[in-house]
Amino acid sequence: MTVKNTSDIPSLWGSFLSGDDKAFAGIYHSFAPDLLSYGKKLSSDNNLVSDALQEIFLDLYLKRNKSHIPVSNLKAYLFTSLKNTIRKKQIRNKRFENKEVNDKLLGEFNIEYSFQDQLITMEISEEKQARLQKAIITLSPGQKEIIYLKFEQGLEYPEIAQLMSITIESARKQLYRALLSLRHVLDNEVFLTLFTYFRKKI
Amino acid sequence: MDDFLRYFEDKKFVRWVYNPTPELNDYWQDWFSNHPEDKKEAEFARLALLQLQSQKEKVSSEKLTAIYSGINEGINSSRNKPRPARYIPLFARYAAVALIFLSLGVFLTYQLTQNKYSEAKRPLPGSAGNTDAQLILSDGREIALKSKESIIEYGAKGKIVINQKDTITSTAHTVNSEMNQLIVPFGKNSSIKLPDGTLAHLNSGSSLMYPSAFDKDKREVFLSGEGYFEVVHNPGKPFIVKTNDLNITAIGTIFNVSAYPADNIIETVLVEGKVILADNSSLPFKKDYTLNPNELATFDRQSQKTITKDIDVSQYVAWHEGYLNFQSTDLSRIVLRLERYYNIKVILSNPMLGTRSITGKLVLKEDKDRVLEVLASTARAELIHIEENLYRLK
Repeated sequence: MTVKNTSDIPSLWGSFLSGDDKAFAGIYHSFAPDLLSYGKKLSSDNNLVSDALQEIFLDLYLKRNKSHIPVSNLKAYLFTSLKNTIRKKQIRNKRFENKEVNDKLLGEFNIEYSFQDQLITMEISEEKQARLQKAIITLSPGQKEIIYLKFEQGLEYPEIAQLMSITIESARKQLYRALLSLRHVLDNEVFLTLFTYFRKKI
Repeated sequence: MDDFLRYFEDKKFVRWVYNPTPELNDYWQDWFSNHPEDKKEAEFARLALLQLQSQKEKVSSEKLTAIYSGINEGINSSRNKPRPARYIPLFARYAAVALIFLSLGVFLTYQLTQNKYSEAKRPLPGSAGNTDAQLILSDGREIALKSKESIIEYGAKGKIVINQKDTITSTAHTVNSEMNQLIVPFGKNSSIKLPDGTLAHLNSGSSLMYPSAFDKDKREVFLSGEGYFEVVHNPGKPFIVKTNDLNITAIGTIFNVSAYPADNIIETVLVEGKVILADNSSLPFKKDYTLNPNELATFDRQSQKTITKDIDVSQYVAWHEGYLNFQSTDLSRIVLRLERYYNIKVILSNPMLGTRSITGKLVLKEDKDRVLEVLASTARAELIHIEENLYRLK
C-alpha cells in the first residue's frame, strides 16, 4: 500500500514531533514503500533491507527530540539513513563471512526496468524501442541511481549529491550525459506520440 | 546546460508523464499548441521517462506491518531500558502484531478520510459520525434512512418512495440532470431503483451519485465502494458506472463493482450480458476490456493494469442477497468484508491467520456475534469479544 498523496506529511510530521504516536504510523506508512523500493535496489538481501528500514525508523522515533529535521528534508534524510545503514550492514556481513570487502561492489545500484510494452503500439518502431532499452541497460549504476532518485522519487540535485557522496555538479553532469546518450539512439526518429496521445483525448 | 534537458527538469512535466490527470493533460495540450517547436524534445523526454520507469515491486502490507511491529518492539524496549535498543532480529517481529493492526486501522482511517474522490464533490458524512444512510437530493434536502436496510424507488413525476411507505416529491425532475447522492455508511445497506428502472444495491461504506433524470444519450452514475447493478436494457443509452479510476459501460446487464477507496484494487464481476471497462486515469494507450459472464476483472490502482479471470460469480455478488460465498478465500479478506458489513473491527492475533483459506457460505444475520463465531470455528480460530464492535481472532 503506498500513499500517493503526500500533501499531508507536513502535518503528520508536526503532530509526531509534538508527541502524537499515531502520526508516526502515518509517517512510516507514507515512506516505507518508497524506502523499501530504494533499499532493494541497493541490496538483494531482503532481510537486510527490512532490518535497515526498521533501524532507521526506530532511530527517527527515539531521536525525535534531538534531531531537528525539517519536513522539507525528511524524505532525503530517510533515504540517506537507509543507504548508510544498508552499507554498514553489508560491510559487517562481509567481515563476518571473512570475505574481502569490496566497496565498489557493495554500492552497486541494481534496478529493473518495467519497459512498458504499450509503447510499441505508439509511433516508435519496435526496433528503435529495443535500441533505447539496450541503451538504458548499459547506463552506469550511478547514472541509473541518479535517474531513479530524480524522476521516480522526485529528489533535488543537492539531495541526490549528498545521498551519493558526489558534488551537485557531478550529479547534474552524469544525468545529462545519460540522457544525451539515450537521445542519440533516437536522433532521427520522428515522434508522433504526443500527437497521438492528445488526439485520443479529444 | 542544453535545451533538451528542459522538460526533464520540469517537475510538472515529469508528473504528467508518470501520473497524468485531466488537469495536467489540459495544461500540456495547451502548452504544446502554443509551443509547437518544443514538441520534438518533449516527445523524447516523455518517451525516455516512460522507459526509465523501474519495475514496480509489490510490497505486501504484511511485510510493512511486520517491519513496523519490529520498530514498536524497539520503542517499547527502549522505554524499559535506559539504553536504546538498536537491533531487533527478524524473528522477534511478530510479537507486537496486535498493536500494529490497531495502528494500521488508524492509518486506514486516515487514508479513507483523505481519499480524494473527484467525482463525488460532497464529503461522505456517513464516514464521519453519521451512522444513518442518507439520501441527499439535488435541491439540498437531506433525508436520513433509519433502518439497517433501505429501499428507495423513483416513481413517476419525480416521486421518491422510501421503504415502500414514505413518499417524497423531488422538485428537480426530468428537466435538468442535477445530482442526487445516496450515502450508505459502514454497517448499513441500501437499494435504489433509479429513474430508468435500473436497480442498484449498495453495500456498506458506499456512495452513489446519480442525476434526477438521465441524459438523452447516456446514463451515468458515480460509485465509491461496492454496488450490484441490474441494468435495464436500453441499447441507445449505455449505462456507465464511473469510479475514481475506472469506467464500466453496460447496456443491459447484471454486474458487481467493488471500488472502495481504501482498497488497492477495483473488482468488476459480470453476472450476465456484457460490459466494457475503460480506465479513466487518462493514461495514454490504455486498453479497453470487454468482460464476459462469470469473469472477474481486477484493476490494480498502482500498476494501472487489469487482469481478467474466470470465477464463480456467487462469491462476489451474494452479499446483496444477504449471504457471502467463499471459495478458498483468505480469512483476512473475509474479515475485511465483515468489518465493512457490520461496521466492526476484528483484530487477527497473528498475521499468518489471515492467510488461512476458507470455503463455504456465510449467512449475514443480524446477530453479528453468531456470524463471527461460525467464521471462527470454520477457521479453527478462537473468537474473543473485546468490547462493543471490537473482536479478536486467535
